[in-house]
Amino acid sequence: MDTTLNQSNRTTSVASSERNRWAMIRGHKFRRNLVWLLMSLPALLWILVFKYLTLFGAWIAFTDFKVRRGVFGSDFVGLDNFRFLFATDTAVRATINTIALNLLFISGGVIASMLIAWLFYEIYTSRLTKFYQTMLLLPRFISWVVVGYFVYALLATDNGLINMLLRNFGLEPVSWYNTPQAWPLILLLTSLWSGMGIGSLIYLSGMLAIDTQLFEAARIDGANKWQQFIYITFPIIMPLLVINLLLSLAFILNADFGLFFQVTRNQPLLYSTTDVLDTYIYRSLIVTQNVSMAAAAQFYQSIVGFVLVIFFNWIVRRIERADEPLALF
Amino acid sequence: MAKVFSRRTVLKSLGLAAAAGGFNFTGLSKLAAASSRRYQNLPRLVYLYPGAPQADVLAVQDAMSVYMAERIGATIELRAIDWGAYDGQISLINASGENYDLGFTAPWINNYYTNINQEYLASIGDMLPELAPNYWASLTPETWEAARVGGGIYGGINQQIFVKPFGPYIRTDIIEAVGLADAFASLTSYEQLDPIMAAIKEYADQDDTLTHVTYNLAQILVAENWGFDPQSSGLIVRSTDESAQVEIYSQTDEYRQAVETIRRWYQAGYAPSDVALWSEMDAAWVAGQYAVRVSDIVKPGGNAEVQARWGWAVTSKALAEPLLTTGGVTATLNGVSSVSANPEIAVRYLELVNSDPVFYNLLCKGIQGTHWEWADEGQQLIRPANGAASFGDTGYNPNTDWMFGNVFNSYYGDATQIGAWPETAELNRNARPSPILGFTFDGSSVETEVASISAVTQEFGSPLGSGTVDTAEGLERYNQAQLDAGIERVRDEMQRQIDAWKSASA
Amino acid sequence: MTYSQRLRAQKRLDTDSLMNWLARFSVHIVLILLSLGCLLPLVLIISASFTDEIALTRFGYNLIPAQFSTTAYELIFRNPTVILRAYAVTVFTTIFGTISALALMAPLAYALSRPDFILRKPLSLFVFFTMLFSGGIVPYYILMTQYLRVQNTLFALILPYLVVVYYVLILRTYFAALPAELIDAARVDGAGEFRIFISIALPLAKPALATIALLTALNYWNDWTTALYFIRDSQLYPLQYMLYIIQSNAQAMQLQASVGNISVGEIPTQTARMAMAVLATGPAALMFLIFQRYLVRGVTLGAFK
Repeated sequence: MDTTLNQSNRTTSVASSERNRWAMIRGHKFRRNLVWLLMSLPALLWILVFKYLTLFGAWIAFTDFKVRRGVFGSDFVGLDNFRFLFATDTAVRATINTIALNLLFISGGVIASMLIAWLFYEIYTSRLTKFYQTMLLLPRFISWVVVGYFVYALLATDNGLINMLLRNFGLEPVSWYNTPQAWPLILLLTSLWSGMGIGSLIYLSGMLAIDTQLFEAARIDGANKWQQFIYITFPIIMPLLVINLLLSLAFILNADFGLFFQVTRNQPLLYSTTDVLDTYIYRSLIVTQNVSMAAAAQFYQSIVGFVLVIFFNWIVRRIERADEPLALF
Repeated sequence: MAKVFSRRTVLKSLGLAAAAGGFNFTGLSKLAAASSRRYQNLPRLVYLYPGAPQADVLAVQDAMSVYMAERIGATIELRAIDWGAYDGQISLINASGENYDLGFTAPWINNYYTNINQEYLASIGDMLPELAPNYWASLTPETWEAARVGGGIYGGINQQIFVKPFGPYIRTDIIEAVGLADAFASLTSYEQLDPIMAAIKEYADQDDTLTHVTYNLAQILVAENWGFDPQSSGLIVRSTDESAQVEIYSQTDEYRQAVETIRRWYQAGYAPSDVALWSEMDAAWVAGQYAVRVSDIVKPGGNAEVQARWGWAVTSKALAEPLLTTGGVTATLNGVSSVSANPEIAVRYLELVNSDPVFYNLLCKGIQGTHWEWADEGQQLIRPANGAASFGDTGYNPNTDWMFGNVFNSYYGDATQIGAWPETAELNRNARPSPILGFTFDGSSVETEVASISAVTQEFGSPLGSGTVDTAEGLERYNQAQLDAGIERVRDEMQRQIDAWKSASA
Repeated sequence: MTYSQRLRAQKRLDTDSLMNWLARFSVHIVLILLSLGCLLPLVLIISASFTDEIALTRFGYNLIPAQFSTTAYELIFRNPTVILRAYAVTVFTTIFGTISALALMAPLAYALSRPDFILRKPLSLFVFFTMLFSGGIVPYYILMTQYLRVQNTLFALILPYLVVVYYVLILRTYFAALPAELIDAARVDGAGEFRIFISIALPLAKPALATIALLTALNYWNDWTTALYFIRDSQLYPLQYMLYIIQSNAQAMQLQASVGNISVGEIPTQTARMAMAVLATGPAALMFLIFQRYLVRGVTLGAFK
């Protein structure tokens, strides 16, 4: 009896201290989550106001929008506003060009950025690093209009630098602005020139977080630089890569208008390889200035990107490991 | 009319209106405060227009307010918006229902037709004969018809050169150097330019500064060159065709001829192989790199203007017959906003600015004695005041007479211009009116086709205009692309509207 | 030892072979070539901005101006107070905006990176969904002018870029990779979550924060469309917008130049555009040099255990 009593006493005391401990933990957990929620609140509020409240504007794509009547007062016209995006061969070609060029830019950009980030990482202690990084970032500050002039100075048929070099070597000068086949490459180089500063910076900041002891261990084990990259660096910056790829998918139908319009100087002969959805939309709507059609175009670009991201995010979620979340959500 | 979007829809999610303060337009209240205090009780008209900021704009505004207060019982606020920002800002101002009274509108900026479509402009056609009798009488009824859209007149037309007699301009020094000045003076068609261009090319090959004969060959494709009244989407109506049949421009014989001429010129090497941007063509002209502008508007006083603008003395020859078209007449207008609280007073302002030369020149040139003074009052010639070197140094020089009102009332700034206005008015009067003067196409039922055509025109039409593709091939592709984009549907719709308009106005 | 000293010592321990030296040398060569490729256009632009307008058309872009002239800068600085005020506005919005943006984004990113945050999944969806859709300019304009009423104030310039979801994403990834042991240790010591965030997470995340700060600062510095929509008071024009205005006005003036008015050649449009590019780029590059130091400092503190 004594033991049973003692036992029950012990159970009670154990139970109560257990309960207390649980209460403490739950209390802690609650407080923790509360703090996190409070920390996020300002940004969440901003997102709510600036992104969600304005979403109703997407309805404009389905109406014959008359501003004074408001978004919901204008007549509903279904999918009429979307027709111009598919009506002609040119329109469809614009979509194809956009996707193809974006895929080219993404792959080229990722490879170039990662390589350059790796180069930086290798010589990070050098005093010249600061200089290189600044130089590589400079193109980002130059607007596309100016880049357009500059590319023209290079590629002009008569006095362009490239053609003058060709003539010096006895080769035939090329009329670049009349040769559509060359332009995916030209635009890729221009896009890389402009973006590799930022791109490499992002991957570099990821690389800087890697514990150097891992590299020491790998070197002791006899791994060379390339192997170190594949087995140590690459997996650690994988999350950044996945994010960038998923995001690029979200914007697969969007293109940098400045790049495609200014650098090509809007030359019609180059449209077959450089006309993208954004420039096509610009040309179509510059005459009618139809707000509904512009909204429809934007909606089209968003919805395709949205579907792609949801789909690929789901795939990533299926193949990722539980302790290393890669997917966006 | 105050709120654009139903408050309920937004406020339902979050009571956001409480979040902000009452931030006001601080800059604008400054402007208002500076103006004449004596007339504070009078209604104030707000006038929006594009322009570079002028140092003395407030002084001019005050002077105008004093003048207006005595005559129409209102004051004015001049709100110039920078050129690059005007289109964007005014469309946002319109969209949000912000208050203003008068705004500059045109087919090429703050689009007149878009504004009417979106109900941003007030209909003033009924008020004009009553409240602006002199202004109304200064233009023929047919001219006023050009601004009529869907039954109402939505803007006050600024009288200036309406017709577009296109023709080539050639630098005087070059044409004399090759000894063909007489040949140029007796020009009757663009094909006759061939020997002149060839001679100039020879000259250019020897000269250092002159690099090419000409730059923009596509200029001769402007439809008025061939006696056509251009409508949207590559459709035209012949000015000689009283039955007003709509044709596809690129399928006419004249177009084919023009394109072949361009191709011939391009292959002969008269133009550079890279088609440059307009701004660079101007820069090249200033630098003396070419000699001919193949097609531009030839008008009284035009030679002096081109010389002042770009530096070289020129002669010109009009090749196209002056034609009065809707587009030409509605080149610049001042509209009354549909949210204006004082549309009647705004119309009376239009009367004042369009028929009172003193008031008009106050707005255009500034205050007499401060910004300008008479050089020869009899001839209406003025010069910068107080010995300033040019009008640009006086503190007020918007230099946009064509924006503010009747250009023919403007004082002459240079002796070579004297007499230009009566001559131009004569030109307008004697011009042949197009069979569809006063008709405006409503493209809302074929907007998809209009958008598609707009996109393909640039792609297939431009190479023809620059001469870089073979004509037969290029024409076929262009025509096919237009057909695919639905140009026939647009043409049929336009014809239907024209026929309806004709029988209604008959 | 600092990180860099350690690294250097480590490298000296390596068999200082020719291959190793060659590798480093070639890396430098590649980077030098790339840097030249990025620097060259800027030199051409600076040179063009100091060239006479007509000479620029005749002789094109050169490393050294064909004919030296400061007309473009004279046009822009005709009214120096205007430019200086624009600089002041831009500097203020950039600094204030960047600090505020970081203050908003970092805590959110940190909270989203905590695996045991209950609301993590739903909030992530809430946040990142917005990257895929946008309501367009019309509702945005209505929101800013009619409901928030911030037109013609500095708020209008600062608000739009306070939260960029892409940056939140990057920060979240970075925070998620922080060693959990440090945080657990601090928790056991009794530190509150916010204290952990401030004293442990933030310092460790310095490289990412510096990068995001730089990107945000660039957004504010280069922004001109916000002013186009919301700023009418010329005292509040930011730099890029002011330069755009000057140039478009100059272009319009050239089109209207008529007899007895403005003489030709007085309006240098091409060279003015180049001068504007110079004025806009220079300070931004300087800004980067300053941020550079924090990047390095962050590494020394963060990577060394």
